[in-house]
Formats: sequence, C-alpha cells, structure tokens
Amino acid sequence: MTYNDANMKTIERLTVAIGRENIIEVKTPRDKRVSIRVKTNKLRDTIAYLKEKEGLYHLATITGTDLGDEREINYHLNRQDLIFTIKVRVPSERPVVPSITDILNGAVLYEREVRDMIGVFPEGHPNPKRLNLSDDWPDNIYPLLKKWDIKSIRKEVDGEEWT
Amino acid sequence: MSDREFTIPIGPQHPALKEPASFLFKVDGEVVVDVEPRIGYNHRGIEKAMEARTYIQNLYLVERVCGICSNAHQTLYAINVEDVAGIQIPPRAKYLRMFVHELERIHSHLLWVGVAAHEIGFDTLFYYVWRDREVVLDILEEISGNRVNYAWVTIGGVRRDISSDKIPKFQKMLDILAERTKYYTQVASTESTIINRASGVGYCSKADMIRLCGVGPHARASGVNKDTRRDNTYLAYDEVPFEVVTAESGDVFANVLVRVGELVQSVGIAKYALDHLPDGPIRERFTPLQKVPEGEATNMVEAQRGEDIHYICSKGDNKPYRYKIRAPTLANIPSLVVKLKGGYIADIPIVLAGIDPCFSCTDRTIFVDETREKTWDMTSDELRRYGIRWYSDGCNK
Repeated sequence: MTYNDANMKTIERLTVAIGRENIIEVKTPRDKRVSIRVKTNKLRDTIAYLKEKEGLYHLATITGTDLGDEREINYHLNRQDLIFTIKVRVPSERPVVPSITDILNGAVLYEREVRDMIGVFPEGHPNPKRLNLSDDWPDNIYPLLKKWDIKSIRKEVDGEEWT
Repeated sequence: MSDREFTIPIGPQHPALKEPASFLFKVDGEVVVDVEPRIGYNHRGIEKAMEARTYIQNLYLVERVCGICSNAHQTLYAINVEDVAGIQIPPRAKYLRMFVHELERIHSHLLWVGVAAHEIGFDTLFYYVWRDREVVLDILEEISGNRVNYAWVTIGGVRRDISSDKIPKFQKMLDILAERTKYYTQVASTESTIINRASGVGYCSKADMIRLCGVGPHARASGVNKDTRRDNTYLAYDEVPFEVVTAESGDVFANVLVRVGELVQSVGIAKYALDHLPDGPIRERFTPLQKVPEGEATNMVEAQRGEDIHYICSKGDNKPYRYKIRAPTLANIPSLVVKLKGGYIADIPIVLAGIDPCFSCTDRTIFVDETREKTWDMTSDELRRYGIRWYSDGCNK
C-alpha cells in the first residue's frame, strides 16, 4: 500500500466517523497532502477522531486567513507520511471557533496568536490573553485583516499620517 | 501566595540569548513553581509585509525572518511557491540547496554547543567549538560571499553554482569538521563537567513532549523519533543515507548529545551532496513579476531548531494572498515551560539555552521580592556566575 492509498483510507474513515454531510470540501493537491473543510460545529470531533484513531496528534500550527465575509482557520496536523489540514470558516460578524487546546495541548499558543492577528476567538481557551501584540494595542485592530494596511494602522495607533 | 513565593520577571530584555522575550517566573525559595511566557517583542509584521510584495521580493524578506536559520526559511519559501506554481527544480539545484541547508545546520549547532558550554561554565570547549565553526563559515563565505544570509536559493533553483575545482578544497575542510565533530561526541558523552552540570536538569518526559507538540532536537532529546528530513522528505534527502539521532533522558544533557550527534550526520550529508552532485542546470526560469496560479500549499523543512512549517495561499496574482510562517521556537515554548517548572533558578539560563531559542537573552534580570517591595538587578554574567557558584558550592544538595 502506498502512502497515497493509506491517506485515502484515512479520509474514508474520517468521512464515516463524522458524517458525509459535515464535510464540505476535500482536496488532495499532491502526495502526502490532504486538506478537508468541515462544519465549524464538527471541528472538535474531527480533531479528536484524528488524534485518537489516525495518529495525527502533532499540531504544527494554526493559520487564519481573511476572506472578506468569512475568516478561514486552518489546523495543520502532521504524521510521518502526511500533512493534514483541517479548515473551518466562520462569518466575520461573529468570528468564534471552539478551542481545541484541551484536545491538543500544543494549540495553546497558536490559538492566542490567531486571536491577536486575525481576531478569531477560541471559545473555551484556558488563558486567552494577548501573545504577539503589545498590551496597549487597540482592541479593534487585527493587523492581518485585509482592511488594515500600514497607513491605516499607523493612523489609528499613533494618530498621525504615514509619511 | 506564601511568603516564600516570589515573582521574577526575566525579560522582555534578554533571557538567555540575544533577542527579547519575557518569562514571568514564580519561585518558592530556589525552586521554580510556575512560568508564564510572553513573546512578540520582536514582532516585525513580516507576514503582512509579504502580502504587499512580489514573490521574488519576498525571497529576500523571508530570509530575514531569522539570522541563524535564514536559509531554512528561504528554502521552504521557495519549495512552497514551486509547489503552487508547479515548478520542478533540476536535480543539481536540489543537491546544492541541500548542501547549504546542512552547512547552515552545522554552523548553528556548533554555535549552540559553544553557547551551552559557556552556560555550563566550560569555556575551553566554547573556544574550541567556535574556532571550528569558522571552518564551516569559511565554506559558506566562499560559495555565497556571506557568513549568514547567503541569498543562495531562488524560486526554481539556486542562484549560484559551485565550480568543480573548489570541491576538493571543500571536501578537505569537511574532513576536518568530520574529525572534530567525532571528537565532540566523545567529549560530550564522557566529560564530567558536562555530565554533572547538565544531566537531570530541565527534564521533559516523552509523553509531555508529544502532548505539547515539541519539535526538533529538543523533542528528539526526549526520545521522540521525528525528523522532517526523513518523514516528510524534501529536496533529495530520500537519496542520502543518514540517521536520526535521539536520546532518552529528556534533559539538557540529552540536548547536548542529540546536537553533537546531528553534527556528525550533517557533515556526512554535506560530504555526500558534494560527492554525488549531479550535472545539469541549476535553476528553472521564474520572472520577477510572474504570476502564480490559484492554490494553496503547506510544506515543512527540518530547520536547525526543528520542524519549520509555512503555508501559502495564492489567488493567481504576483503576490501571495496569505503567507504563514511558524518557526520552531514557538512550537517548543509549551514544552520549555514544563522543563523550567520544578527546576532551580540557577538552571534557568542553561534550560532556556537548551531549546536554542530564536529570541531573547539574559542581559538584565530584575528580581522582585513582592512581600518586601524590594527589587534588584542581575546581569547575565552575574546570573551565570550565580549558577556556577550555586553548583560548585553544592547548595542544591
């Protein structure tokens, strides 16, 4: 069995475990790469299943992307033969995802980073404090959102025009 | 809080190396009870800046994420862009990339062994190791013109070739390194100065390391057999024979053993790459304003400090829509906290140095006695001397 067959089996078993209707999109761009978009309310189930049953207990990082009306959160898991990305999308009006720190303890800093940079709140995080940004940073600015650029951030933070 | 418990802020200016991070230590007498890390003092907004620059411009920005692992980030960035753009790089470029990737690991690990020896109070080893580090820096300078930030990799291949008449000279220099690194593995495993000072200090179990997603030599020192070069292989690592070095004891001593062991392996890989350098072109064409098709890619390389992961999202423009970088140090902070808890204040510098953190340093440590409202300062030298004195007087017995 090649790596790819094993990875397809992983996808099939995951589909059975969390239900086909909860999986929105599956991509396998090349060998050893899988990315799956699931419904936000199934995120914790998916992570817990992959950790317990598929040996994907190593969380490499969490990425947040601003897509305009929605914000996409990618959870990059990996094991020896696979980099597995789980995606969820949340509406920009209510950017909240369930925290996964209690399942994968290694997520503790990444969730805080995503909160700081893109404003997606990990609900249920044990210590949701600032991590990257300074304590006096304005509450409404999440620098990686597309609506902020260096000029508007400077104006908001320092009250002066960028020259 | 009992009257024996104090809070000691270390940082933001300077815990163990030369970049800022902050650790708030809660101590009971000499024992660390709790640690709260805080980072971001060196946040430069590189991810945001990359969204405003073209792919070729970003090549030089991403190299400046870190001074020591500059080539690792640049290699990974190029792999990621090639992945989305569907570019296959020539075999010679793979080997040339791999050669510099390993030289960088050798120079970084030698640097670390020197720093660790210094923190231990074993300055003879520090001078020895840093003298030998000049050999690898000379090779890097000769092929790239720089001791760090080599600007070696470009999208589609590498920027310069190594002429064949220089290869025997480099082989000779690598032979010197091979001999020296073998000597260091012997010193590290037998020298009582290192064993007495480093064994049992800063312990993290294998289970905790896996639970907290630790990476790199730091994780391998706790017995986690994980190396991106072997597991999610990239460049030409699947063609090169090498071993993944692990240790079981999970302390600073294991960190030393793993790193000196990896030095021997890295010298072997670098020699292999030179011996088996394929002929042919060194790059595929990629124009400065070239657009990259829509798509996403996630790739990893094994940087010196551990698994380095980048994520790219392209929307078909000549600039990335989103670029995410996670350097290994961030992944190692949760397990570092475990290592620090339960240890002595005198062990803080060596345990912090143990993960080879890519930030921070102990130039000035403020001790706060909350119950008596008294503060006093300690420079890194004083803290280091305090550590050596603490152990030589046997106060911890």
